[in-house]
Amino acid sequence: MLIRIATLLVVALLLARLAQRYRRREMSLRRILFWSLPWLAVAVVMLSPELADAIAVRLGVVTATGVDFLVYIAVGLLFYGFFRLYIRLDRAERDLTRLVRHIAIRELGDD
Amino acid sequence: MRIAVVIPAFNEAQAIGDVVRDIVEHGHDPVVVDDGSSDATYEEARRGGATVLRHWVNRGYGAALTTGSDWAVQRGYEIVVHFDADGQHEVDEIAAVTQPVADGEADVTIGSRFLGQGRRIPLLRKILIKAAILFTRVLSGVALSDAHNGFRAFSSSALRQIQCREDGMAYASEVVERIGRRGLRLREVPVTISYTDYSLGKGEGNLAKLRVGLQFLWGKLTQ
Repeated sequence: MLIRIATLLVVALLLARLAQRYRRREMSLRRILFWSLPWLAVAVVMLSPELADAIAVRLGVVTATGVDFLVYIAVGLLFYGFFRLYIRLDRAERDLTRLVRHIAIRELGDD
Repeated sequence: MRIAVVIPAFNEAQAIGDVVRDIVEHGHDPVVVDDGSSDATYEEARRGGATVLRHWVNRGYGAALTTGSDWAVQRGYEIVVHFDADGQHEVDEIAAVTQPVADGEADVTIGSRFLGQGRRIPLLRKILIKAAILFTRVLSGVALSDAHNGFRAFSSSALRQIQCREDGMAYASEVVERIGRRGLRLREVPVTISYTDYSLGKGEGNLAKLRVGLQFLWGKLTQ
């Protein structure tokens, strides 16, 4: 029970951070929704493990041990790491293009 | 009407000089964006008489077009043309492509190889183009008779309304989508595309074209 509450808190925190990015206009609504999906899925699983179990059984995945849970957490962390990397890389790429463009136009002005 | 012909060029030293000279002879102003070339593209373009903007780092087709277009708009050009560096477009046809914009009948024109008496198009390329046309129509709601045609003309006010974010080839899809979303008046103009060995060699392969489509979809999802 404790782990469920803890996970839900973490998910709420992450969603709050996404909402913050949206308010600061760092990301568009579409992008926010896209990146919210996995966290919402985690929340659903935590709120209703029976549903997750039913889906897992239907898919043929039979799991119930703590080791599995560790793997789930690891996947979650990896996903979050990937997400952060993606955001940073995306911003760096855009900044680089703006910089390169700025230099190109300025250089010509100096001729 | 002052017309700037923006030409993104990445390692096009072999062809760029002739293209630029041809444009100057037709009375237009060539604006080459050297996109981080490692060959003599910059020198050849300047020798031909072009204004050359230099990207010190390669940023891609879309980024180069935006740089050239931004510059042209800042400099007060009334019409901005997008033109390929590899000689696949006909300089003679710039007049026809810009005419509807100059006459105020359209805000944007895009060349179409299927409206004109285009020369023979390789079969596999043709199938891919048809698929890309459908793709564009579904995603942007704009019905075109050609896809990813790099021959375009914009009024400067239209360009100001279209702010594209894609740096790569996906620009070609994005720009159509933005035109549709802004409700700009778009007209297609028949153009001839020359599939020379040089331009086919320079252009991306068919597989790369598929990747561009996926990139655009990914961009739509995450941006």
